Amino acid sequence: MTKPLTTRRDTLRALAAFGSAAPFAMTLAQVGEAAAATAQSDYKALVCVFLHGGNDSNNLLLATDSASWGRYWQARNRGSDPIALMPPGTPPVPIGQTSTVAQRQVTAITDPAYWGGVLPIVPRTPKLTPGAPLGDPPRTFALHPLTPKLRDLFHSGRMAGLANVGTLLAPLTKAQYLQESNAPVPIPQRLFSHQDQQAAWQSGHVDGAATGWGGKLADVFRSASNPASQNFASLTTSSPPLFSAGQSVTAYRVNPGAGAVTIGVLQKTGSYNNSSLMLRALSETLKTNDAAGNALGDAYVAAVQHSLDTAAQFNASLAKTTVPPPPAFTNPLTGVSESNPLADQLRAVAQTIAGHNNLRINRQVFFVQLGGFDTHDNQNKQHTLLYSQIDHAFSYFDSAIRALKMENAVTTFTASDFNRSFTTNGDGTDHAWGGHHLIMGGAVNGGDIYGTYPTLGIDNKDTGFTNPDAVDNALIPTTSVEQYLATLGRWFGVSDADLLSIFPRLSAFPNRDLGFMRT
Amino acid sequence: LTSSTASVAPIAVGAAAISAGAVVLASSSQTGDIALPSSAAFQASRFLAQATFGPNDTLIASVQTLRIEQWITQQADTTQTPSPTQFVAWINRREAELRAANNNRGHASHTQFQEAFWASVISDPDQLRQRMAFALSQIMVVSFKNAEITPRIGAAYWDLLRKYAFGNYVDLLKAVTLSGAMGIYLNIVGNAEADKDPSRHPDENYAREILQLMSIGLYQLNPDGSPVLDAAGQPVATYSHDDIAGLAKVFTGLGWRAKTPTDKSFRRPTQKDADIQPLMVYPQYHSRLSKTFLGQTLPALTTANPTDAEVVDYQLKELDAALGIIASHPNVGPFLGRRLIQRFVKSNPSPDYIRRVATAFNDNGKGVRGDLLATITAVLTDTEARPFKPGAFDGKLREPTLRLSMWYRALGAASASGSYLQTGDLSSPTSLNEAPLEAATVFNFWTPDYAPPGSVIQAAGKVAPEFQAVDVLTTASYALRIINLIMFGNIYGDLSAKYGDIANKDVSTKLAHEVRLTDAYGLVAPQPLIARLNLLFCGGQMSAALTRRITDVVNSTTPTSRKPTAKDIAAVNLKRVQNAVTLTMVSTDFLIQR
Repeated sequence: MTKPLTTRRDTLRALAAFGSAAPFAMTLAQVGEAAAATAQSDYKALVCVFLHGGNDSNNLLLATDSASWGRYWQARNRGSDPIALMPPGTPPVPIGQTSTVAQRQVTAITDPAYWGGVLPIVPRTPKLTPGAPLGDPPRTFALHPLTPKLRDLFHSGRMAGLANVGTLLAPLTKAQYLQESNAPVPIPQRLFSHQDQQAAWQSGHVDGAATGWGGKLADVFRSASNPASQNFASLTTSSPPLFSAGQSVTAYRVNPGAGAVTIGVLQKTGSYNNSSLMLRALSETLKTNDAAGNALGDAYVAAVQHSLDTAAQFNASLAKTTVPPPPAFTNPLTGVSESNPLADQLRAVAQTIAGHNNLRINRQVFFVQLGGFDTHDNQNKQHTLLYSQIDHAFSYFDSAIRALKMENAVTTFTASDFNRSFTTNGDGTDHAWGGHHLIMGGAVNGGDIYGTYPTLGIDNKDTGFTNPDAVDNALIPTTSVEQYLATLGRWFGVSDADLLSIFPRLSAFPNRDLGFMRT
Repeated sequence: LTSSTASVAPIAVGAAAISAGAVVLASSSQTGDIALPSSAAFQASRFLAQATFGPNDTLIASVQTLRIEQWITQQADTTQTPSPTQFVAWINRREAELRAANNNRGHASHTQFQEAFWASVISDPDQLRQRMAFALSQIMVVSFKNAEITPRIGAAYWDLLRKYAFGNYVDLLKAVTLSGAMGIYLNIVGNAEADKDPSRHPDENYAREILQLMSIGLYQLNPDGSPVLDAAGQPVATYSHDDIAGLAKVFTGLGWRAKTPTDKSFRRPTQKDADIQPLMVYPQYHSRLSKTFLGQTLPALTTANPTDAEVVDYQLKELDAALGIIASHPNVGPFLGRRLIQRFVKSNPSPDYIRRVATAFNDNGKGVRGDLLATITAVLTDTEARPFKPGAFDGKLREPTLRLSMWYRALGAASASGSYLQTGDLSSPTSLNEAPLEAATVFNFWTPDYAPPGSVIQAAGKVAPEFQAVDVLTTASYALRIINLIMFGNIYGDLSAKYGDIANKDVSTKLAHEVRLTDAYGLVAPQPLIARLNLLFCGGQMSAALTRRITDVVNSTTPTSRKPTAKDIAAVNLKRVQNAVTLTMVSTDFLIQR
């Protein structure tokens, strides 16, 4: 490989501290070897669950104190298909009966009244509404009614919530935001745009970048002497996203439910299709850029070569692992038992984690995703399936990783383009900004909500209410994406100096460890 | 084997000469009585790989007879198109057949749309129109991955893209806006005004994506496609969220066609054929407030107690005015021009190339803006489209769909049943990872600015959109599919099955022309075979290295019997062609169109 070598920069810096020529006498490969040797025993994995399209986390993690709930209900219990969830304690209403809370007849299982009330969760530490006097009673919270297993994970201490995270260049208040071009602090550009906000979340740069922060974390732990730390350190179950691309580390795409695709005939020798030369010629053609001098041809051949180099090793590792498949999943919309694509991806992740010793690797970053969160329309129907899939998949993955006795080594977290509008467009929601996220694993300081859960509601001229935490329909984030990711990166074992290099705006925020990970 | 080196030389020289653009390969070069392709034929093929779903003998001859401009004009002639509604008609016919064959329980699915697509691209004469529809389907994206888009709704969308392919851009934009497919995919249908409800707002999905993806993009552009920079050197945004909220109000009050419009028909088709007809206005759901976006304001409806007819008139005029504002934005020429160049010709057009195409979009020479025929003509006839000596970042990675369509067309594939049966999902990552109207999201299979991370392409600030679908899984899957395709004669053939999948052989080729390229001994000869593959798959640019490799393999492909019968010879001839085509189609000489 001719790619530049990246090793643990903190190791190099430590060596450089000797102040002599010594570090330069040590070859970069030796440094990498040293890094690999010291860290071999402490395996860690980060698993990013990307909720593609911008999850309406206003309906995932909710504040249920009466002031919050009143404004939530006002904003969402309207339109042709109201998206307001039912308050805590509301019994489910069967189809054909009338919900006294919603004041309508329930006609489908996609009606929130059919699901019953949101599921209360009690954070370990009391939370107040921002700006509320200290003597106020603590706020109350809940999860979506279709996520009972997430509630159990929260109460078991293996899941935490993180409130109102979004792309920020620096801490930003509403007053500052409203000054727009004269704002004393910069405001991120291209908010509300899927591609750009995905790029911000996945690169760790508000304006996007050529590589992803998942790949760059893997870069930190790459060892020049161990090809696996190049090939199997950043894995994805879908078309490689920006998140997975490192400077040196190449994203590895895993095929859920199956091994790596191998070109079987290349393993054969002798004659093929009546030609003694065909197999050799086939191999040569796959590995040679015949369009010599064309950079696109070079890139294609490099991708083929990567595939040919890794497939057998990956499959051999996979064959030695045992991870049970997910339990049956019933699609609530159809009643049919079917596969849950998120659980299937997480099984492939668990299998890879189970095989980390076979691959001789001690740090891995995974990216899985679930699509369909761009709920402009029919949000109730779409969330019926999506939140059921999340509940089932997270619970399954928690069990699978605990069965491997690796729960303290694996941290799973959600990410998404953005949160959605607080008000409804009739039967759905539109693009917005700050949103709420979940972090799961044995190393999580679970059972609590981190960050600052915002004031809810939109400004109302009639009542005189103004929300200090929102502009129009969008929450102004109080925690930056980079603070969130850096907290995960620090747990992963990345030095503060490397974190500041990977997340260029992190330095604008005083708090670089949000506390949701045990250290 | 010794003769192979000698026999290959003229072609290698010929190929080099072609790429240098200098010498005509003498058409009198012959093996026996088989004529080798001329330089003009290679150039015609190179053009046809850009403008059609694949060169074949007929088209190569046709382009050499006509000038390229004339050929394009001929393609725009609607008499080239079998029927303006052929995709919907296909679904209707297949739906009836499937129902009859399955006790009235059968149904057409998006598979039947794929049949219609392959039938059309393999056999229909209106190739450029189909390619334009294919390109537009990747700019104005809808996808069957949204299950509410039925096969008929998707087919109607394809018919629409074909109809407007060479029309005016603003008419295309209007037809797309009023299509059921886009209505569902980006939530136009059933979008109700919220004029008096501060706690609700109109759906913003289409308002955002029509600007971001289909017309002007995020930044103000110079005519050559480069971003306009502000004093601080930063690109200047084309719009803010306020523009989106303003435009979103325009797209309220559009629902399905119905003689008696109801709340239900506003949200879902209720009347026969409403699914394939343009949406219609529902005045009671349309915003009557003023709408400000892109620096212009469309006025509020100020008539006191307006009649339905007055609101309808207001809404229709407003829709035309809004689409007119978008279509007349100076960004559209360079924005659309770059995307069309990337779909047809190359990933990295020069700023001048973009400017020339934008100029044609802005004025077709007769003072008309938005002429898509003039625009695509500018794309395909530009001096940069087929350079004599392609540079390091020239060309593009051929899309998987085009790789397969070239195989079908070059080698004379046909459907035994006439229905072009498709028995698998080509959009699966273990298949081709692409199929028409099967993109995962509105952002298409790939985005215009993608560059493979860590590559020389990225380091040079260049792009290669199609690489967004290239990874360890899809590269191996493609090679495997090609090996199987050629051995079994069908993309759905499977080497892992004991006898292959015989049932899947509906669309296939017997390689009849190629097996006749024989020498004095009756064996397929490397030279004419390679010349033909070079013509049909590589535009005359097959490298000397690949030529030599294929020559050696063809010569080494021999009968196992010492005294081969005529049947043995025929069998080995087929294998010679199979081996040569396999090597060609997995090589970068084919994969990189340049």
